[in-house]
Amino acid sequence: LSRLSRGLAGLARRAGLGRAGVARAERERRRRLGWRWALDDSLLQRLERVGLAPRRAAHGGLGGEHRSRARAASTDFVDYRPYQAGDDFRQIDWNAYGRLDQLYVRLSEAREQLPLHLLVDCSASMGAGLPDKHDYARQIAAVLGYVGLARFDRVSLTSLGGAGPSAGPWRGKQRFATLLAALDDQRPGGSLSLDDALSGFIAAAASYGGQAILISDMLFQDGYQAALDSLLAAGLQPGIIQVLSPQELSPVVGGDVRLEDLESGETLDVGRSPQAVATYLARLTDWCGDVERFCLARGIRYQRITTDQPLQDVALVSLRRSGIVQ
Amino acid sequence: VTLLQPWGLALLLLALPLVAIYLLRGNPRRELTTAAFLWRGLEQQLTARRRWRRPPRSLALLLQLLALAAAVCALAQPALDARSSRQTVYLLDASASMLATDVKPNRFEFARAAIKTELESWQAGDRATLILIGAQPRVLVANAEPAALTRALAAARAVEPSANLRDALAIAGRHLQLPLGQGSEVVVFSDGTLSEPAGLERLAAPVRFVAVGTRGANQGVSSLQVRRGGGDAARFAGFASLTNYDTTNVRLPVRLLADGLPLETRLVDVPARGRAELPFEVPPTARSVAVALGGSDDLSLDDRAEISVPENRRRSALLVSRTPQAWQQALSVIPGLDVVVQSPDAYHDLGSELVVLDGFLPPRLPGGQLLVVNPPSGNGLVRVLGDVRDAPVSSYDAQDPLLRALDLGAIRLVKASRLSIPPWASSVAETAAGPLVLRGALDGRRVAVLGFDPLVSGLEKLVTFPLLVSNAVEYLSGSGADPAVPLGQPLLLPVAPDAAEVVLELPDGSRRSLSTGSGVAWLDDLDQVGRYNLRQRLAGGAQSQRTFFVDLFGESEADTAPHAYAAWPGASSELAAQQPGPPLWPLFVAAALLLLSLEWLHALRRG
Repeated sequence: LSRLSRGLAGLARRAGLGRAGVARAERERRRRLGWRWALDDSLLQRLERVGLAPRRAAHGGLGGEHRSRARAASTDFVDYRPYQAGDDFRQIDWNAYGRLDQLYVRLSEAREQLPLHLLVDCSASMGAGLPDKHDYARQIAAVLGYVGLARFDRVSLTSLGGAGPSAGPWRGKQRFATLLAALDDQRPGGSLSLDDALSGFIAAAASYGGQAILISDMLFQDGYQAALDSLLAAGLQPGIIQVLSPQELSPVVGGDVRLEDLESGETLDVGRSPQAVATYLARLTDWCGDVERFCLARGIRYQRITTDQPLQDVALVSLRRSGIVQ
Repeated sequence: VTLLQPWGLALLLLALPLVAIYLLRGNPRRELTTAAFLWRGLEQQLTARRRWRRPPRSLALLLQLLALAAAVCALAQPALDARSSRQTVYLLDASASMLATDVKPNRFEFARAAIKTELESWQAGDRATLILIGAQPRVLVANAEPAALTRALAAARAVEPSANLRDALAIAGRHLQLPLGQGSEVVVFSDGTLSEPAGLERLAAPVRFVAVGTRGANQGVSSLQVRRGGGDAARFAGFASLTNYDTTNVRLPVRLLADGLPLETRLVDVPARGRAELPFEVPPTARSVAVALGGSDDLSLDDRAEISVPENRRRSALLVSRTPQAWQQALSVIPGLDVVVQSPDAYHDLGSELVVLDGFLPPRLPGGQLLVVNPPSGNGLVRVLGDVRDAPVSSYDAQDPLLRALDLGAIRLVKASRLSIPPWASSVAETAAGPLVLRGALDGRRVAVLGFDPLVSGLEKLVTFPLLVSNAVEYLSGSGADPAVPLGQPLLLPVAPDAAEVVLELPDGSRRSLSTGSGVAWLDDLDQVGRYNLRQRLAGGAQSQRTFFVDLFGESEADTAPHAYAAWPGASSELAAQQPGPPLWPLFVAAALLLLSLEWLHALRRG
């Protein structure tokens, strides 16, 4: 009877009669757009007013919109300093000389591009969940990528594990479609060792510095600490967006199941008694808490989200609150 | 509550495998996880390490068990117990034969007393219906308490001309209200009827027949007629028919009376279950004759019969026709009738008592009794809807005075008119296309309409034609000489439209005023045997009187021998036991569907 009920429920869902039933037109739109369905024009317009929030000045090259450690000729006044031999006469503030009778040089700040590295976990575990964690991770990456491209930052995409390109850097909003196409090509699969995956990235991107936003479920059995430390050591500003599914946070109670790990293939026969589920949840909470504490201890920005949260809320509220964007 | 299919409860055993599914550990369902390492060490809590597990407190299981129980209950077809109250339907024969005195004081009183005796054993809550069996059965009380039944019983009278047992049983069936209590039944108190009440559906309750009467010792006058003498129109002859319904020969003293005075007394031998004819002369001045049987039999109602003698005078008739030969020949042989013939072109009203209008209707109808033959279309008397050709007579009333002794079923009319029935007339013969022969009373006179031309239709060559003309003349000129009316048969008599008062005097001496103004008197409650007088007081103060007699003729009531039935149509007691109260299975089906829906919703919520 339960199977029959589930079958009828499936039919009802397909017919648009389920309690989570969305309007047929909306469901059709989502089906057509795939994982991009949440990236509508209204969201992108609101993202125009959002920028990345680097903890340090950028040095990704001049021409961006982020403060640089380099001083350059520009209109952004920063400070004065006494004239020294060799300084450009054009930088002398003659008004100050007239008042003070001393030569001072105007110091202005150069505006630089901020390298933004989007690290998307494409391991098999990201392919789970309803809504799909990997789809949600791609939506987050697209949001952050759009924010960076709109500010003329150097945006690059790195796929960790699975199948997918590591592409970029791109600048300018006109390259947003390229970013989306690269995200389209990502396919979750296989297992992922974060240390191994980041070592190659660090070797290629460390010279640019900038922000490295890791979008992942952070359920790395082998640990994540060393990998994040290596990002810091490479001069990058890591940020962690941990994506979990509602099913991971509130598993079904009751029934005996044979659990099979998506990445390692490990199987466990588990009775999902209330006690067992409570234990699992406690462990998951501890795991996520450890990740958060680790990040806080190292100044790494951290945000945990679930895939049932509206993307707009995450982009405009959660990520701002965590300091990843401003 | 009664279970009509108790075997269905065996399906409750399905609950065992259902519960076993929850108790028995099957192979665990395979499920993918993103972090198996978080589940490690929880295998110790695997309930299925044992083959059986503790029954889970599952809402789904509870709903499924309840749905199964509801479905099984529906299959068992529960119904309310048929013992809400005992219902008894009493059918009391009120036909004339129930006045036979072979049981004292008579059969009707005997049956009435028997019903009263049964009522004494009633218990609180029991209900009963009393139906009087007559030509048209009547429900005196329905589903009543004993007191109401007793009152209705006391007011019942046995005066019906016949007993329609079939209709009475059908009515009884409709008054049985399910569920029936234990002991419910239909009880028939009757001396039986000649024919079996065939075509009845089985009743919901058993039918108990209480035969009333012990024998058929009855002799009666089964027919009495007065005919004008063939050779001498001034003399009348009487013809009485006596029937012995008993199984032994009898010799009866028979008294003949004229206007209530004895003419003569004869001893007539009547064989067992046989008949004897008794012709006699009617005195020229007599206005009524009667035949009275002596001796003692069980039923006195048919021991006397009386009939009016037609007025012994010549009557005038006007025949208006373009082809009068056949009509004139048929009318001329009727004794005491003086016929004048006119052409329609030369028509003028002569004030004749009888007017025959053949294919012609004057703008103003003459004052006498009318025989209208083949009325032209557009006349003001009866609408002619069209013609039919080669039409057989599909139905007719062989007992109607117009059609008595005629065999119209063998006649095929070459051409006939389709008539509409005016308010004053009734149809007595029809073709498949519509009414063919009408008769009725209009403006205080009798009118007969033949919707065909006997000459064109070929009828004038048959013996039917003079008989039809004779019947028509007898019917139309029959004032003061009505044939005896069988008991219970309704009678339509013309009355003067300007009559100020019309009074009917009954045989028991009582009087009843009738409504005036309609031109007719409709008498449908002639439930007494004997002489009736219809007195009219006209507007000018003149008075007129018309006498007719109601007699008990007919074998159905005079044959008082109790009848038995070969195949009693009522329900058996087994059938009554199978009649449950209102079925409850739809409720259980609805409950099962509701529970399954809830279970479905529960499954949806759990994903």
